[in-house]
Amino acid sequence: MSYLKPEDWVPADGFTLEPAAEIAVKNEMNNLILAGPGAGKTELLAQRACFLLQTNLCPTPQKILAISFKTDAAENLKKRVELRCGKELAARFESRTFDSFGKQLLDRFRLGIPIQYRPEKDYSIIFNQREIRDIATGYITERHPNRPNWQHEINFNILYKRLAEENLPIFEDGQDIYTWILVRLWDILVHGRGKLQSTLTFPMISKLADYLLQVNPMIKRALQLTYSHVFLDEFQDTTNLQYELVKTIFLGTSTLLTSVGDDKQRIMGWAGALSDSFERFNRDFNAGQIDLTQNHRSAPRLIEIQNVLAKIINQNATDARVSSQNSDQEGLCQVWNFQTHLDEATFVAMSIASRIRQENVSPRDICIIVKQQEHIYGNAVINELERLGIHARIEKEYQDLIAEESVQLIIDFIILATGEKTHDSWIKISEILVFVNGYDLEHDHIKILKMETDLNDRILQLRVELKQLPYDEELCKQGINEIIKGIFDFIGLERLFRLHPKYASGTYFSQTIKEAVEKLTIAYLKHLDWNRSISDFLGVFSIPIMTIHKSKGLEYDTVIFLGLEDDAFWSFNSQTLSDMCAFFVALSRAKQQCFFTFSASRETLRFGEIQVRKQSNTTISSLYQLLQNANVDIKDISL
Amino acid sequence: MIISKLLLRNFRSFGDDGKAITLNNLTGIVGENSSGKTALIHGLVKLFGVSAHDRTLEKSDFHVPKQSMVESIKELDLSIEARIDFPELANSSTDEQSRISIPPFFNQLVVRSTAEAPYLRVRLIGKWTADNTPEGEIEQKLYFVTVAEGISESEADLVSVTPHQRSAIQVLYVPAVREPSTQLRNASGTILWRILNNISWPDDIDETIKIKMEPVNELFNGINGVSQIKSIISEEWKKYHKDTRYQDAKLHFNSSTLASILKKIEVSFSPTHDLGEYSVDKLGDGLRSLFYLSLVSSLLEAEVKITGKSNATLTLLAVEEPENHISPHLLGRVMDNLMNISKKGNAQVVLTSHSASIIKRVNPEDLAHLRIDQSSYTTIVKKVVLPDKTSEAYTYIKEAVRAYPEIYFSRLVILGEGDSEEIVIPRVLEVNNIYADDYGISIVPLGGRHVNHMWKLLNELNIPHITLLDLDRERGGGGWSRIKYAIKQLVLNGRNRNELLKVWYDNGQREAILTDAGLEQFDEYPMTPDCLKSMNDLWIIRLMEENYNVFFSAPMDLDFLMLERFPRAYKETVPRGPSIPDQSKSPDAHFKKINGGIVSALKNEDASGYTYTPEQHELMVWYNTLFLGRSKPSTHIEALLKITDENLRTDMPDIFKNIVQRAKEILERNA
Repeated sequence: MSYLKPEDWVPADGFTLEPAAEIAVKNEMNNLILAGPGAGKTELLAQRACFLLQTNLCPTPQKILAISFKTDAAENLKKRVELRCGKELAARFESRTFDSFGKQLLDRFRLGIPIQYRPEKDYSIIFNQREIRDIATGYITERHPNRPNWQHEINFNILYKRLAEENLPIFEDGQDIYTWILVRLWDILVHGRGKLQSTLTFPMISKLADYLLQVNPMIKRALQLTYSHVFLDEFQDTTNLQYELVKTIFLGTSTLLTSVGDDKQRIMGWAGALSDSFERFNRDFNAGQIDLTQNHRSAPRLIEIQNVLAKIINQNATDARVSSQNSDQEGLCQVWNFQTHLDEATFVAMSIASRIRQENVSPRDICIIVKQQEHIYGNAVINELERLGIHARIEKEYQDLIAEESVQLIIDFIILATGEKTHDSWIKISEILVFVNGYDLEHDHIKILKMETDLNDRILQLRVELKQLPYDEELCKQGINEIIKGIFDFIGLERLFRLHPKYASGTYFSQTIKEAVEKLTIAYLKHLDWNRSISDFLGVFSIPIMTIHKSKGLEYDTVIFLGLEDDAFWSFNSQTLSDMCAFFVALSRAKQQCFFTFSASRETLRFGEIQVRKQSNTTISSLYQLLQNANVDIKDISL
Repeated sequence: MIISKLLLRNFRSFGDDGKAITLNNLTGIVGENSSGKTALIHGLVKLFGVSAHDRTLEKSDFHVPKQSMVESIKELDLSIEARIDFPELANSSTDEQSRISIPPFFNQLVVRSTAEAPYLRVRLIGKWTADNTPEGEIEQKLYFVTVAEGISESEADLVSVTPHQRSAIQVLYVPAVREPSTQLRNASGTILWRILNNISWPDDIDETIKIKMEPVNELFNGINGVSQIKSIISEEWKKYHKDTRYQDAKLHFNSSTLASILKKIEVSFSPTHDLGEYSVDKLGDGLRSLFYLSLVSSLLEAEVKITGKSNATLTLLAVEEPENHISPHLLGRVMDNLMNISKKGNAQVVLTSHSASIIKRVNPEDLAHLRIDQSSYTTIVKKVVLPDKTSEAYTYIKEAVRAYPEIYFSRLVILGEGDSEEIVIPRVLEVNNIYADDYGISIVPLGGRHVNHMWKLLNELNIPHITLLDLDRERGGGGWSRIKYAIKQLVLNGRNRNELLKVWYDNGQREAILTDAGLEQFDEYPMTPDCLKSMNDLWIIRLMEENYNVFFSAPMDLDFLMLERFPRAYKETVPRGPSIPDQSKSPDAHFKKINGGIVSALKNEDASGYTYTPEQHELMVWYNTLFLGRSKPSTHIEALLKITDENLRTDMPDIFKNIVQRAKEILERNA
């Protein structure tokens, strides 16, 4: 393989990079790249990876490590790099989530952790703070000499935070009740106690990984030498813990870090995102800062509004500029005022119907976003749309499921057995089979040929099976379940688990499959045609309804935000900046049109009950003020 | 990066219990024929051989257990596992190396405990299943084992090794026999090819070659004979082939692409006496071997410089019997070459040898000794055990085995105290029709200090041995103390203490075992006739038993023993011997002379020689002249010339007869 000289390198696939992006791609320093909505973050990182790999500035066999927050983001980035520079080079590009990175370190080098903090091999993972509370109060049986009733006296939020953040090992200092609890809690959690098996949270996993690298500098060095470059995606969401792990590993080494993020989209504060990650990164890693200014997503009118908002969130924010491809567009943004949420539903449904039917926008390209409680806020609209023959769905129930590798695999098999354009699926499945069987592409021709014949036979059989499903829902579900079981038998469950270790323990795999079976059954019985059913399952025919947090990183032709109201932004006063950012995220999802609704009364969920409540917009008046400043039309709509 | 351990299970002569061999930068494998040396190297080749063909398992690779009905076996499985360590990781000065060796494998590294350096486990699993063909069906798979050694593993812990990862480690194999030049060429050729293939050739090189070859082809075609052949071929072809496809049959040079040219690249030497060029085939065998081995070394070095990277992170050169085809005086250079290769960060050497000249150049700690266990017919692997590194014995034994590498190949080792044994014993054996060289007997002068370490080493390697010690009666540390020493060392070597120290009191009425304190008292024992009787009849006899094989040159040493047995022959080796004044004529002078002789022979100012006879006292004077005044070996050589085989056989000391008898028994048992 011959490498390009850096000066001869041009972006793959005919891309042109704005000057700032060109610097961001080619610069050989630690950099913080500020990339607003539509700046093409993924593309930028993919191009940078290509540049480093194709010029060998990431010298063979060293690698690039890209850390994202979500599995699908990590997958997308990996696929993009493969697309841009080919599989061979992309093999040296590792794209992971923070959680999987930490977990993999811990799992592989678990025995390198001192016994005191060493979890069992098949530890389970809990996500819920409530469970930690139960374990702390239920399993710490030792009496505290001075504070026997600590269970009722301490602030558990502090305990959760310190459980996640305290560096290991933890020493009791005699004064601090929390260290007393933490020492015992860690002991119980990592080793298990009685019926409780070894149990960890992801923050604990991250801490353990950090601890491991402290006690075994050789593993740390191995990491440093393996990765010549590290990308940190969505840097605004980085938590203290994650940042510390990155620092532990890479501070003061020759590994170059590229962080990409947008402080205007910092909405993960509740999940522990650092409020000053950008400043800290600049300081600790002596990083340069590069502002990407082009917005390739939105129409000019929408960018105008985004710029107004951006200035309020961060007065130093640079104005985003319209990308040349959108300069002939216009863009539309309005606020719609209603009396009731039923009026709202009727009008919104009609608007959507006309956008789909008259302006030929696909349902998939229209998104309904809410601040929270998508089931409640979206309920009336779903019904109203259904009446007009348009399907809308709560995307959360599908988003994570579809991103699962095991579900992807099922879909590819069904596509192969029933679809017409199946080339991609064939390639994907045979690659997986070659990999799990460990075949050597160069030498195992005969085995691979046989494997492909077997696969073909299996597909033909699958085609028959998929056609013969009963119409009765329960029986159909059983049938699909059997078929899916057959698919995994064909691949070999153990092999699949080896490929995706997350499925190997607990009930995660069976839960995932159960859910997929249910959703596929519904989709199949709806259309009785697998082509359409799969498209339906993937959401091609449906309008997605989701919260702002779930909409991160996505883009739609039209965005309708339901409920720009005080109730939705109930903590606006205490976390103004974070809510501003959320508002910015919602606004910046739209390419062409963005609407905000206000309804004088609406159904909301309070204390577990659905009630109709009067709505106001006084607390968030600054948001309205801002929209007015940007000359957004506010229309009262009565039906 | 280094393959630090190889674990072979059910592979050829390696049995079901699995055997581990630790490997160093350079590892020497010794052992008799068919003890598993080649199997071991093939194990490496099956893991990391360069060509798919080399890596493919065959039915004969599967170990078939002894006493099993071959026909009834339906399934066999084997595994070959390598542990790979990364010593470069411990030191930041070798980061350059780590940057190449670590990244491909980081995701598969493991540790067992807190401060341990991470390492890698690669395992080949092979499975043979009977089917209708004679070869049966063979499946093989290469995995990373992603749990540390000794930790229970599940199938999920085995992760496939990608071809790309596998090829980061390349084992180049130079077999012992047959065609040294071709096979050596393969080894160096592989690296040469690796480099050439990774040079950034211009994209249009094939086109350029084609254009440049055009005139050659024209020249070629222009020659009368060639064009005739060409037209014949073309016409003949047309007679049979009517299709328009493939209708033109042409004759031209094959080497018109880069790939085909590279295959034919060769080294040539000039100038030669006849003005032509010599290809390497015209060199002598020895020079050729030397040339190729040195090529491997320099190419490994050049690879990074030329292609900007090492195309294999680790190259392991496995050489069988490097001594083959090479004249002894070149062996040193061959070994230097292999040493140089092994010292590179990206290379490792494993060699097998039957040659003491090769093995003596290998650090004893780098040696592994293979033999076949006679009960199961499977290979047993032993490392050479040296005394603790901090002890004084360490250097001594290390140098000793380095000086006498032949012990590794011996079927019987006779440990003597010094030079004299080395000369006398072979002759003694010879007159009894035991030819040391033929039978694989080594007589080495390592019986003195630290003999227990030698015993440990030989026991570990399961090499039978006989020890001949000087009794040194009345000498410092001799007599009872020497007996005590031998007993103590035998106990240290795991001999049954109760049997070794069994004594009888009260005229054989009461049996007891000597305590440690009792044994210590040996030093204090007097040399009264009673005590001497116990020494001679109990202890010396017991130590000669088969379990111990410790013999004593009594009463003093082998030199004295021979002098006593063959006084004439020995005395005649000096033209003028010592003059001993006549006892009756000048008793004082006589006494003075004799006494002086005793003192020097016994190396002790206060020695009186009271346990020796007057005849022996007189011989001590001769002893001084013959063995202390001149070189022992030359005295023995000269004296032995004067003794006929017949005389030596009949008149040799009894102790030698015992040794001869024992040697015969050992050789017969292991025949």
